[in-house]
Amino acid sequence: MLEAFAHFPLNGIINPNVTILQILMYCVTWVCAVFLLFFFFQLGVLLFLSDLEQDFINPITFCQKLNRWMFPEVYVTFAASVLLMLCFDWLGFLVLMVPLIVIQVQRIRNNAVKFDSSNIFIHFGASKKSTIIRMVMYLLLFFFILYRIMSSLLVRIIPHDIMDQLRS
Amino acid sequence: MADMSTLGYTSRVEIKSCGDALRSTCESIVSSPAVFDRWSIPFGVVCQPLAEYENLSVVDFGPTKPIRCLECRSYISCYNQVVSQNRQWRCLMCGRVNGFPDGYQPSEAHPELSEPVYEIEAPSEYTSRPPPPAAFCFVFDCSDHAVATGVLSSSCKAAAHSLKHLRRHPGARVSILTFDESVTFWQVTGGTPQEVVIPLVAGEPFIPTPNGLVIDLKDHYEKVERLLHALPDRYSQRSAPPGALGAALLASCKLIASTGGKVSAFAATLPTIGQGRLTDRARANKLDVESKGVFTPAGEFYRALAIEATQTHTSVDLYCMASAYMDVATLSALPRLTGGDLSYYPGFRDARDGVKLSADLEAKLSSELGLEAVFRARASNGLEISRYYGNFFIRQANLLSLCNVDTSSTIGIEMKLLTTQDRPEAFIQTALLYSTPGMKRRCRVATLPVMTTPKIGDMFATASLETTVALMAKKAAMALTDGGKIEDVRRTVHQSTVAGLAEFRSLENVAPGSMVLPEKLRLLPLLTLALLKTHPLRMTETTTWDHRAYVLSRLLRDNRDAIRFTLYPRCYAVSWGDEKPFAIQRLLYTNLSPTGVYVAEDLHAVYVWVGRDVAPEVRLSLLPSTQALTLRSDTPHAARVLETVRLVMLRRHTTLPYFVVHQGDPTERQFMDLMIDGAVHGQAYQGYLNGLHNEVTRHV
Repeated sequence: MLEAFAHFPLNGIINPNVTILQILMYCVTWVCAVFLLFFFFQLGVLLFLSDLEQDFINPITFCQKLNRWMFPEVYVTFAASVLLMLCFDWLGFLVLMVPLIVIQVQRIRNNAVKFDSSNIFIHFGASKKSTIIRMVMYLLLFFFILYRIMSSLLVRIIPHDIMDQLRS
Repeated sequence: MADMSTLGYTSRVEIKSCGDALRSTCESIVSSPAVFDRWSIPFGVVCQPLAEYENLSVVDFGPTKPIRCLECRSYISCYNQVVSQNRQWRCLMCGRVNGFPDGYQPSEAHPELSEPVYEIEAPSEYTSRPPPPAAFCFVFDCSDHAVATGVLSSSCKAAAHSLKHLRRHPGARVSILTFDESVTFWQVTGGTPQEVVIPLVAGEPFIPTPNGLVIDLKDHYEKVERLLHALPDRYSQRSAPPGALGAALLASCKLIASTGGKVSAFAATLPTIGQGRLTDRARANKLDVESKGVFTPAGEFYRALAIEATQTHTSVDLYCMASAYMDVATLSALPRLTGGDLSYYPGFRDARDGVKLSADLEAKLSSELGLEAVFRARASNGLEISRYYGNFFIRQANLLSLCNVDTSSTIGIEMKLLTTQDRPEAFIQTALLYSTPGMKRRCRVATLPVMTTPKIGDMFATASLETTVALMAKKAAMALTDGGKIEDVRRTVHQSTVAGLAEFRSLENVAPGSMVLPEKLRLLPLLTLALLKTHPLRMTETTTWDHRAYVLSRLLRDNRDAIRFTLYPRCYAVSWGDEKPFAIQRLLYTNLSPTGVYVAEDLHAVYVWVGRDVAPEVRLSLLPSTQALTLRSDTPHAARVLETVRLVMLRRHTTLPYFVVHQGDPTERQFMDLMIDGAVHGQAYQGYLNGLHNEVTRHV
């Protein structure tokens, strides 16, 4: 399985310690799955928000149900960014991950991570917008990491000479 | 009211004033949103739902439900157009044509069709449970500090004095708690009052017995009164360390949670034990005029308790009688989110402030009370409500949960224009659904029209200064509570005035050197400066953090009149001749004549200022001795001054202690702090006006 990830640029730069690489790549697959999960989680938050708007749920219950999951989302994002940084995957990291890190840091500084039942109707539009932005970013990140995994798998499966033919 | 003939349009309705129940900052509004954006002064309404309204009638619609629009659910009002031969009516908010219920004949005799403010007897669908009897809980601080400063004795005296007002509510129930380092519940149903002391388990109290703690007032009135008189003596010998205020508030909210009600808590020190303990932020230098979020609560306890209390319709009134830092900013989260009230008495001493405490508590408990109250405001198509300011919990996008309302609760509503108005009027309607202590469910509906006009000059001509300033003050107070920096809020307030006046200047053809102000808003610069000089917005170090938080909560909750007196206190010059006994005086220290006697007020006391050169015979007849602090009671001169003092107190609906201040005394400091026209706490008015003029001409 470890050869499957030989496409990652890391291989070209240093001589990898096989065990570490194996663990790293294994974690990256899980991160990919987690981002898909986050995408669906944000979708769920949006559904809750629209329920709140229609008065199917009151703000206190809303906050009780959702606030447990808000900080774990932030922590996992930071862990994932560390992993991607270790993979030296500049395109993914700089273009996709750094804006996400900036957004999460801003949320922590503004105390906007957890929903606040007394303020939620005041910042309603902003909450919705923030949720949608993060949802889109998680989706893009999921597809990007999936692309990286698939392309490195393909490199291993397709023999060298056919690969060169495809490239030229 | 402005003269309608000069406003260049024809109106279809005649505006009937709702009184204080609903007042708009401008009686007209421009019809296009692009022009409205140029009006930078906050636009909206100030609503005092239970304000006294003469001609208030209660309408019982009986088996037909209250007449409401089927689409937007707004109530019928006296401005609705009746169409198709008295069988249908057009809604003001959404324009839909609805039918009257069968057998309903619209006529002027119906209050809902002739009065702008009316009250509906709400049918049973308007409530989730039958209205409960009112429950009142008193929480007394009985630590040795409270006993020593007289807090316990004056609060018990005040509560005993106000008890008779509670008796008139049928089924009213009362419970009494005291706290020091633990919480004590009192049972009076037996022969002698029994106390049940609950030590705090993990900082949290528990309710010892389910019955006997919340007492029916009618059956046990004398026993409760006797207990209130006996409490101070019981604790005068004991020595108890202070501090479990948070736990006591938690216990009291739990105690009356089944019916909801009002908790009146009297605190003398910073809570240091148990849940909700606070640290002395001021000494730890964590509070600084430059930093952000100085008024946001420290820690989550009081906010979380408030949110829980709103679910059971309990509102908490806090009376802080402090001699040291009490972190009023954190404690104020509890009354703010539950629709309660915060009162603060700095340096409390029984002899001096006891009367004020008693008067405040009596005013609160004897006023008309609304329990389990929810409030909704609606505006006609195109007008959007952008923000609410006041003491409440937002239950839903346009629904405010006020828990308990009394006659002085006020909400500021800021609005903005979204789409072009093609009708001659826009309408704003507020509805307060509440339970009376007499266990009836009522809904008070107020409707206010705002004329639409194509010209922004008409908005300046029909602006209402006091309402505008009240809304500006509430907006600034809310911005500070949300965690803004003091400097940013000051800049916003100042900029809105500058931009508003610049807009007016660009309408008129003015010579560059002269200053022009709209006639109705002539005093706007003065009141803006006064707002910038109020305690929470001061950049100078002349006030304490507790005082700042107190005035902040006052601005957020008070009605128009009270905000006006908070911003620009009244000062009267007493004259001895036959003309009017007193004349309004500008708050400029240099204007005070040393031969005169002046009466001025602030939030805590009334000051009688006696000049240095007052004629000796006048001085002799006023004061018992040369440096006395009180007036004589027998002379006509003193009677005149006392009459002025009484007039001041009357407008404020409370009793204030009064002091004589001699010119040149070190005690004059507090009086001089009131003279905000001068260079106190910031710029002098002249300098501010000049600066404003420069900025306005630059802005145009």
